[in-house]
Amino acid sequence: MYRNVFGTELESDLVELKTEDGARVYGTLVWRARAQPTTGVLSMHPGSHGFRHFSLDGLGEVGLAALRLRSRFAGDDSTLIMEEVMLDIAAGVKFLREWGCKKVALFGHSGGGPLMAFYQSQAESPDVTATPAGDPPDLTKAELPKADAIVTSGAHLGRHRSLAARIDPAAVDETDPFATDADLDMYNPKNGPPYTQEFLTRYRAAQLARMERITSWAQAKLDGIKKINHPVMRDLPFIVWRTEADPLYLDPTIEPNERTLGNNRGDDTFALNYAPKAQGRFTTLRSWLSQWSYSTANADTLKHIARIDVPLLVTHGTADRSPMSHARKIYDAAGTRDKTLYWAKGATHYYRGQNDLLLRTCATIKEWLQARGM
Amino acid sequence: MAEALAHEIVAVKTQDGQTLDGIVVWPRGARPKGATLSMHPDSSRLGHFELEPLARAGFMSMRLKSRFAGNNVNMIVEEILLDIAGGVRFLRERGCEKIALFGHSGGGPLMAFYQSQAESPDVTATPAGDPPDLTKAELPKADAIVITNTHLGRHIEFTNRVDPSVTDESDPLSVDPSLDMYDPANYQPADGGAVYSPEFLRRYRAAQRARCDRIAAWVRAQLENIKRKNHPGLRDLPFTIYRTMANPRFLDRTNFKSGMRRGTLWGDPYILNYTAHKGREGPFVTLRSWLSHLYYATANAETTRHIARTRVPLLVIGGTADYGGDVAEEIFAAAATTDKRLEYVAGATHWFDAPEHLRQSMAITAEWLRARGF
Repeated sequence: MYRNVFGTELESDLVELKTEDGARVYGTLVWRARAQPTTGVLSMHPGSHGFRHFSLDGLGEVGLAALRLRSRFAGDDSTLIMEEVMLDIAAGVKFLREWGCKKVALFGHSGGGPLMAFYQSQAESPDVTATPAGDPPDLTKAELPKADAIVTSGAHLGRHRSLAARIDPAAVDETDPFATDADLDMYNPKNGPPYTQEFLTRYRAAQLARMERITSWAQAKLDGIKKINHPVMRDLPFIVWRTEADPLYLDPTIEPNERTLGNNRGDDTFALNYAPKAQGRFTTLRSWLSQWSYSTANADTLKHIARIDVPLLVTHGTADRSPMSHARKIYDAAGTRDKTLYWAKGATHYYRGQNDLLLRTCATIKEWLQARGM
Repeated sequence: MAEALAHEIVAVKTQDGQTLDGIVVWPRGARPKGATLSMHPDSSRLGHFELEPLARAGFMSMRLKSRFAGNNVNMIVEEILLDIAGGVRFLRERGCEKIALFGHSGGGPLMAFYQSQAESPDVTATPAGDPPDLTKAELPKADAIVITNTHLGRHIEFTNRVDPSVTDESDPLSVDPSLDMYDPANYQPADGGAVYSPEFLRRYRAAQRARCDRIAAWVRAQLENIKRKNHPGLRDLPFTIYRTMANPRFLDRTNFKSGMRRGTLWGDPYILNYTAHKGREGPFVTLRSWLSHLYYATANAETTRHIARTRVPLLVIGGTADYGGDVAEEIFAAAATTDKRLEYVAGATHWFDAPEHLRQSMAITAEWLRARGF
């Protein structure tokens, strides 16, 4: 039993699945008691647990079977390989079909957006034969059952793009967390907010330059390991300091909408930037190339959404701290002819304390699916 | 069988504002007065082997995820006691009059530490000097402790498995060959495994402590440096520890009475030692977390020390094919309570994988709880 935020007692099951490469993934399935939903929605994020994710509350409430699956990397994305997560999604799609769902929609919230776009693109026309570091899985040989629709919610454009927008370019020495270039420090009041166009242009270029420096270093390190030819060591962990510094956190004139300042991980982004544990803080060479590296990562929302053929519903809150332009770009880039853009008026990223708005969005999703025979 | 049981996915609030995921299982339609609470410091799996068997035996069984579930890089063990407190309070509010703490594996030291602090709190800060002050926290006492296949404390396990042949913390391949347990020059091959000389093991254990002391000295210097700089946002730092899977016990079973097979619960130790692996202690940790959960000289959660400070009934169960079976007697001997019992399940592995072993251990537990009014 799962009592959702609306007070409804939904049926629930802890789900344990084995992927085709033998990994175990866990999830929560909810549905309305005494109903036999024939449309299932699979919700997943590459690195977070989301055990009581709002998609369970809302999609279960409107009568869908909602499965929130945790990827094999949930809770610890330091070794995350995006291509492996595709196999986790595949297990979820397969499970929902076997459970009795005739139609399966993928629900990609936040970082789940690029994940679902990547999955469906590879399920429809696979073309990724290895990870950026050259490892399995070969997605052209994997069994990736196609889903019937994609719904995004506050989705971003890819982990690598998201990191490129928030990595702190003032961090000038990768071995010293204190080292700072004051002219590139968004937290230095002399630079803003508001930030000048000149500053932002310089800032964005310096962010990409830092991303590329790390990628070159990682690739060189990896080549070094390959040369040593150690019997078992094939990867190395490393730390990336200061990764929470997107000027739009402090400047509401950038990507203006109804949001409050801060980001979706917290209000005090200065503290987050220096926190010992943060998204992207810990990683490994191979994982960096797969999920964070701007020039090598595969899970790029726009690239893959252009390759899909199933119906697409893009939803985004107008008070989301994640830019609304992302939703517009995803909608515009989508290759499918059946696409819809829905602005959830007043909604924040997680619909926290916004039960009425959550219900409205989920009812919209349900109607949209129904109109398509799902 | 499962239909006879009610499952509920719950959210548990802690006194310091955390919300935790939990699951409660009980016989449908019943209102059990006796309950078990199971938790591990960082395991994120909610399903656990005792939940359904103990519910079928008439108890309310609960598994709660700690705030560090799935990721221990910044784990502060003292904070987890507040999570357990939340679980105990939750069960009391559900009408349970008798609550046993169920500590499996790394959950054992945690439960011993909790009950010791609930009965006679004496830890006023973390080893780094941070909150929580456990003498001021609300830690409702449990009524019994069940310990199954537990070790003596994470810091003890860690010290015994850290690789002392590392000579340079910044170089994952640096090695003192005379201290390399994987170097054939240091052991006698035996039946696919190894036998180390007492002289080697003495030197090895001393070198392991010396490595931990070196890391601790560096950690303290870093903390001093941070304090001196008085940076507004930075108060802890992440760092990497290479090669943390080198306990001679993994290859040499001659000094152990249990029939545990060679290797580790997680795979080939040699590969793990050189892998940027996830889910174990290291490679990522922070300064303050190191002092709280990994450093032998400062970590608090030591099974024998705390089991000697509690007065509630104690049941210790050891599988004879698990390391937990090797140390069960030591834990039992250290216990101060007059109501204690030690049981072995012959042939049982760490997770009681064989159905018959699980049945036996659960029957022992249920009968023992009932005899104590649960």
